[in-house]
Amino acid sequence: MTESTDSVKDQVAAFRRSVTELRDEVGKVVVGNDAVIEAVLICMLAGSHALLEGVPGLGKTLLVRTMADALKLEFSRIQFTPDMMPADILGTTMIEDDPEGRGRRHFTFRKGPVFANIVLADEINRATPKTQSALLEAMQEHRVTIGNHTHTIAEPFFVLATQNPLESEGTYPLPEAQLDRFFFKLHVAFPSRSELHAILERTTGESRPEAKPVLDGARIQEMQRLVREVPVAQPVVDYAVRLIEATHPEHADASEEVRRYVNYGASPRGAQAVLLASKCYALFDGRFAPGIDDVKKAALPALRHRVLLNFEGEAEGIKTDPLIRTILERLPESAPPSVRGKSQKK
Amino acid sequence: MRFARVLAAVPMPLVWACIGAALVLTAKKLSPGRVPDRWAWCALALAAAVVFAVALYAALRRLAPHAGVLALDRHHGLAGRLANAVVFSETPVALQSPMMTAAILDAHDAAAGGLSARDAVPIRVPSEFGLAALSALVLMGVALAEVRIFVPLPKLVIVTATETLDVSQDDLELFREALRQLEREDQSPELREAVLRFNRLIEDLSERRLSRDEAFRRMRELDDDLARGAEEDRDAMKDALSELAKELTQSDLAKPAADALSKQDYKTARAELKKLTDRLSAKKKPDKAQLDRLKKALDRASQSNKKALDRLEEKRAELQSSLLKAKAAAESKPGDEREKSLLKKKERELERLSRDTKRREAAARKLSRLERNLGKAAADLLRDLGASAEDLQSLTEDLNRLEQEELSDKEKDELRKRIQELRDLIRQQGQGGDKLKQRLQRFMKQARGSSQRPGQSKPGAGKKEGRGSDPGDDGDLRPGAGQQPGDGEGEGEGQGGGLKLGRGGKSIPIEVPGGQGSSPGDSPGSEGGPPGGTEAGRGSAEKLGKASAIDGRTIDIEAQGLDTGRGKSNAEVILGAADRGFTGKAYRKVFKQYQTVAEERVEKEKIPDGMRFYVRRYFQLIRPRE
Repeated sequence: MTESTDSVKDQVAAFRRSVTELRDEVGKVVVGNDAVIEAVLICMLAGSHALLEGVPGLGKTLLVRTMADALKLEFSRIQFTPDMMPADILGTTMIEDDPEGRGRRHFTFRKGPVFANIVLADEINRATPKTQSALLEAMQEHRVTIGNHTHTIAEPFFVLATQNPLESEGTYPLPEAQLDRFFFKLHVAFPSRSELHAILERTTGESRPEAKPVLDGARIQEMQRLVREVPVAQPVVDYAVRLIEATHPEHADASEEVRRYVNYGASPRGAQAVLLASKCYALFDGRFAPGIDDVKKAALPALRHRVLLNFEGEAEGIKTDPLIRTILERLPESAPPSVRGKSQKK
Repeated sequence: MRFARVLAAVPMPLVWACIGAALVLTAKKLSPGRVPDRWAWCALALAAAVVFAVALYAALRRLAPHAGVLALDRHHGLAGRLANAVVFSETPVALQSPMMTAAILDAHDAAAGGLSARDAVPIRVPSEFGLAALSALVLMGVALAEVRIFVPLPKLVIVTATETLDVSQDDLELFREALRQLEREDQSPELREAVLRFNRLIEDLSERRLSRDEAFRRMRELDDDLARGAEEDRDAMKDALSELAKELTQSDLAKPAADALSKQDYKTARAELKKLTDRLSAKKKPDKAQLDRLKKALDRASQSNKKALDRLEEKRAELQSSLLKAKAAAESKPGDEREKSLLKKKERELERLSRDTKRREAAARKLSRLERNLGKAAADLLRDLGASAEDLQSLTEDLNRLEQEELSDKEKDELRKRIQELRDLIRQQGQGGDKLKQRLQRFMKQARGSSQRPGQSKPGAGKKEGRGSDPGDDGDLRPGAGQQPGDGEGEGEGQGGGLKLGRGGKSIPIEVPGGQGSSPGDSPGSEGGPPGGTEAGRGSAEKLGKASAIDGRTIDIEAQGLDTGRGKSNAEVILGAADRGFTGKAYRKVFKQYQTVAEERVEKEKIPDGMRFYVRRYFQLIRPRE
């Protein structure tokens, strides 16, 4: 057992080292946005996808591109436009001549840009919902079905989508199903003054910093497995469950604000995201199990796009972030036995 | 943690409990009558119980699982390491993954620096604690505060000198007169004593030595003594005599006396017995059969009351036995209303019978001498008729004595009537108050002739004789307007117009309904008609003018107030008396005439006793003064 424990400790230590290396490498190019970088890493290590939202010019694309550069993985970028078709993303079947020259022609599937390890879906909300939906199967099941053929996407598969705020011209809001498939929704904030200085310094000089690959696909998959191995104590799971329940307006413990402004609460996929992310946070911190604070930390990025406001909430300009913060403030860390029982029943 | 929870939970309930208790205590102290002690204690106990229940609940309520380690984690910044380790350590070792073990070891290493539960769960005084303490202080203040309530004490009745009762001498004189009539030489000692007591009462009232209460008390005592069983005793006596008479009726010789006896006509009975005595003493005596019947009748009569008493006693014994049975039946059936009612009825019957027996015994005692003499007469009749005649003579004396006793009873009733009258009089005075008393005193003063009415000129002065042109038509003031037969001195002239004199000798035209006299009184010694006319006087409209007209012509009358000794009409005398007081020979004469007529009428007519008294009192008030 001691050997196993030591091995685990080593793995966790290696995990931390890898993450630090990757962060450092990305940090060479991207100034600031540490939390966003960490969150993107978490999404990748959890085997899921991230949606970055921010006004144009904040370095969203640069961040994803740098991440791809720091990883020895296949990268593709899709610039979404309103006239883009699903086939433009997934690929298409083409008639090709027989390469052996026998004069025969056959259909050949030409893979689209989605068939990469890291896919940058730039300005995803500029495409029509039809095109946006083309990513659904790929993101959830890591495969693409065209005609009668299903094509598997190589692991690790990681979609990083960026989108302009919905208020921008010519944008289509992502459907709920599409949103739910993103592990995190990250807000890219405007850089601080010092960060802006650094950005200008790095990008307007003679040489431009470039990230070197530090991790390969195999290593990432190892790290992903380790994340899955992290145990979660029952009180933490219980807290995550109660947190999800508290976002549902019809639930008995829902706050007045939730009842008033929320239409649909977070889905179970949200709970999965919270728990997986908390595991990642624990590993980042060198711990072997997440605590309630990790859950709290993961709650905002994991739930902000999964809590859907009702008309009144939209009309009054309510944001989901303050709503979730209120829930976190009011939710007791350890519930009385009766409440726990009720939660477990549900 | 539990203690901290109790501290957090208790303050607010304590505040409300203190406020509630303080309110109840305040209410209790401000109006002790409205809030019973029991309520106040209940309120305090309830307040304490609420606080205690809240504290108990807070202390005993289960804590959330791992609340302690979570608190330690939070305080020491262990990011859930301890909680995770505790949870993982609860997992069987075989099921523990290497990662769990690593987590436990990690927590162990993290906690190696030492954990402080005291710091992790500090006992903080809640912010409401100050408010709770303040409320408790207020409650204590209210509990200790002494509220002085000025309860208005019932008005002290200051007993000073008892107000003595002031009964007018005229009224008392009326009662003295009544007492004089009751006083006789041969009165029973009992009645004499009663008369004496009443006399003493009158004298005490006259001397104003009695208060109202004392006077009433003494009247009540006297009345009670006189009334004690008087009516019932008379009935019993009547029954006993009836029984006796019934037996005597069997004899032809004794029948007339027996009939008189049954009617309680003692005088006739005595006379009849005298006749019988004479007959028995005479030479020609009744025949033997008659004498035998007389003997038997006398014998039976002597036993009659004894038999009656035996019957009563027998009936009483029978009823008593029946009552005992009824009592037993009622006790065996406690809920039976019929049995109860029957029992009560029997009890009442027994009481009545006992009363009857007692009264009858009393009557028998009174008649015992008579019966004894009857028995003796019967025995002597066998031997010697002369002796029996003597016995009958003694029977006459017995009857005389019984008559005297009955007379005493009547006098007792009379005395009771007087007591009742005196009581009414005093009660009436009490109702009228000082005003009536003053008016009466003023009247008394005037009646004695020692004062002049305000605005009145010299008696008789400034008046001239007024006469109607037709006195008969104008009506007459005098009741009956005629003179007594033989009253030859009066020059009766009808006073015309129904007019009375006003103040200062001025005339006031008032039409007084007066009876028309049958005789105008213009002839001396003429027969007077019945008192009062039959209809209202008919004044001459020509003379009077319209009743409502101010300038109506009036007739002035002047009453001559001087006693010329030539004789005047009764009206003149009365009018003069009203001015000078009820004095003088002429007034005494007129009063006597009037009183005689009134008394005759009062005796003849069916008038309630109370009303008779008023008539008497009236005459008492207007009686001539010396």
